[in-house]
Amino acid sequence: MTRSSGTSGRLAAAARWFLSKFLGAVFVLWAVTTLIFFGIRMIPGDPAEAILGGPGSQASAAALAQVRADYGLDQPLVAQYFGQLARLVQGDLGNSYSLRLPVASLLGEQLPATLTLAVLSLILAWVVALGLATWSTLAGRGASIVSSGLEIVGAAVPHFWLASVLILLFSINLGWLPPVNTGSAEGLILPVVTLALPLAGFLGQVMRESMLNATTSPFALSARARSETEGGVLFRHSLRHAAIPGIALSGWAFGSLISGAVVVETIFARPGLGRTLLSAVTLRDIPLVTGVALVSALAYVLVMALSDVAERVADPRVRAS
Amino acid sequence: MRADVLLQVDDLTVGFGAGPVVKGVSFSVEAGQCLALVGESGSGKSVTARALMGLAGDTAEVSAGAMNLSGASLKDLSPRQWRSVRGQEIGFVQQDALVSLDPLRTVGREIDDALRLRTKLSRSDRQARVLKLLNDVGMDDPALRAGQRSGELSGGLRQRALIASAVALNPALIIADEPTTALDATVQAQVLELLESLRDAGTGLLLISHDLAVVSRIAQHVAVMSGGRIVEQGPTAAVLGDPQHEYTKQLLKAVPSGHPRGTRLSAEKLHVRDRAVLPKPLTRPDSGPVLEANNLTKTFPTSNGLFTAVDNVSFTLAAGSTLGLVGESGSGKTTVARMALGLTDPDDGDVRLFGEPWSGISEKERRGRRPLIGAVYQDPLSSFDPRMTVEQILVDAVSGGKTVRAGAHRDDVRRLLDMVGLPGAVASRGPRNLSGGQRQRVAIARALAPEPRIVMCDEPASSLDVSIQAQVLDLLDELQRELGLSYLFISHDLGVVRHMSDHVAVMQRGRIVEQGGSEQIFTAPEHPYTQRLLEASPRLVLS
Repeated sequence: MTRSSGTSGRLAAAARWFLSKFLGAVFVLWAVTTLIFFGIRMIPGDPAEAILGGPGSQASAAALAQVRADYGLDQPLVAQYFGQLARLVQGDLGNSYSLRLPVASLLGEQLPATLTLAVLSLILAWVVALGLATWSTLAGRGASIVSSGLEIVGAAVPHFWLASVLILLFSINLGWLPPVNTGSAEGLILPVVTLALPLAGFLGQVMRESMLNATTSPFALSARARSETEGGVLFRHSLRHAAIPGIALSGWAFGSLISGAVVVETIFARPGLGRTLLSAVTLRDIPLVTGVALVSALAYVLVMALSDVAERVADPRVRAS
Repeated sequence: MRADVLLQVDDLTVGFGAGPVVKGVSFSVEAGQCLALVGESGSGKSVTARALMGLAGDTAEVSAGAMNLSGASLKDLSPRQWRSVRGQEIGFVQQDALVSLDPLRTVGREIDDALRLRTKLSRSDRQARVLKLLNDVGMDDPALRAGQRSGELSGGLRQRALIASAVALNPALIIADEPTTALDATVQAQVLELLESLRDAGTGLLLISHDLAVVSRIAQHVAVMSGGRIVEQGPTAAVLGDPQHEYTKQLLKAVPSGHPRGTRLSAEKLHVRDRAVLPKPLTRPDSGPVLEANNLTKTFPTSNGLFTAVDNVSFTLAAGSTLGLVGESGSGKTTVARMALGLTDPDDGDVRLFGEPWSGISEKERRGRRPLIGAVYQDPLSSFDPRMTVEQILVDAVSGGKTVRAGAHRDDVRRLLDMVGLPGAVASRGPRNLSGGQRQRVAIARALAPEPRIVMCDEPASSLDVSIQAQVLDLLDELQRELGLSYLFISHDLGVVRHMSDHVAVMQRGRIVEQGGSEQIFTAPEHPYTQRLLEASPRLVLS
């Protein structure tokens, strides 16, 4: 075995991996577009009416016909579908019906807020989950039972309820934190906690299990037998074993954070994709709904690929196979 | 106490709340000598070993009259004092380095840990020591190996790496807990040689093993443990050559190597079977070859091109006889077994069952004749649905997987359990709530349920304690004679194969290098590989 053939082999494998991810992403984006396109037309009501300001706007028949012609809504459904696909392939997300602005620039404004929220929540969830896992590993059976209970409650609590309780406690009773977005860093705390805790409960269950398995495994006994401390067993061995299933779940977790953002952004009156999506659906703003869904799907695909890479870095056994 | 006594243990008792599991054991290990603690799982050997390192666990209650290592007491040490003993005074080698070394870390880092924790050497000095240690334990290309993880190394290499991590600080005593279990014979011999060379260099060795052949080879003294007590101890030749205690005699009798085919290994029948429920003898016994394999070849694609797992293999299984298939892991035994069972089609060559084609035909054509071949595997637990009871498992096998009303086949279940010597009460239990031996009996009953004529046994007793293994092998032997079965018997354990087989085929790298009558193969092997295998296979040698 020569080193150069090993390198080119790895490059070829990396290229194959990248190509399969890319094709997968294209498929996901196409599927999302298609589902949204046909799904949104199942909602009763007339899109042309929505464009003119909704059912309450009392638009005239002539105005409706004009809008239908302008937006191509008078064409057969299949023609509309392929027309939209063709525009999307060229990178044209269209204009929002309700806001009369290009969807791309709307998304550009809203995306950073949601990403910040999701990334911070993911980090907090990891910290809490690893903390609980470590505590129950080091502090014994009692701690394990307490963490397990906390995790189950955390994983079971819905976002809207948790948000309400947090607002009641920290904003209304204690007055420490603002109940709605103020544009300051303080305003981020409650939304991030709301999103992070249920995820932490979920991740914690998985991580605690694998950490406990690692600390009672034969290799941990070997480590102790060569005079490793309990802390050393934890940090040099168990932590990594606990992180691996967490990494594998994080791609999925990020997707659930983005969908959770719809509720949390609405409750805390924060700007972001979630709130944009909610109003776009309410107003039957097809281009905006499609745009938000595509961006979320793209983010999801990217994060899944990232977690795949991270898993390969953390787990040599995945690399080998 | 003599001057060269390294480890002195008097009246050691270890308990875990509900009564002691080690009950007042006393023994000593001298420098440059090996003491073997022998016994079956649950006898308290491993707990004893861990108590000597202060690693019996938080819930363990350890008490001893004396526990001295190199003259210093090991009693009532603080955690910090224990850590200075571990690694530095006592090195610990466990079974199966695949899981005894952290699979996520390179073996170089694992070995380095011991040096980092207990020496003040610089990083580069430690690096050099790691490479030297790997070299000392007989690794080729230490620099390459140091960067690999346990999963990337073969069984023998990773066991060497584990030993290197245990001897990194030159401990006076090495505790080796089943260090060669699960290794192939030739690899086992190499690892034992390594341990012997450490012993000869003056290290004391406390070997924990259930394998008397290994013990007889390496240990000067033996202590036999049963139920937490040492029932007999003394020089190896005396204890194994002229055992006084009943339990030691039983253990020795259970070793299959050296006991000719057809003799009993286990002490007595555990359960007297009811003759009335035995199946009727065959009206027409099988004759001629029941299974023939002609020039079987099977390749698998890998990242480095095609891998030939089985290369031009031919054999014949005669009616009512046992064909033993021996070889080390990776030699292609299991692929041959899968082709014999009709689970994998050969790329080339053919299998014939009772003279009719068995390979290269559609599953539909096979289905009607599938009941003719049963299979028993090494690890029955993973081949049972854990949610099913023994009764459900057997009913499923009797009815061929068809849905039947509750209580149907109750007589069949009782008959099958009786055939394998299990009481009827076992029927309502789940596989998890059975002992290893009981589980393997259920697996045999399941294999026999469709009334097969051929049973493929793939390492059927390899994961069992020697006395349980003896019972299972005896059972297979009895069933063969009573039912006129033919066995294809696969094992890496030469002693077991010799005891069980009429004919033997030796496999190496996908080929059968030698085959013939069992006695001829084992007494006058012709192929150098067979000779090497026999040479390496540990035998009970009493000098």
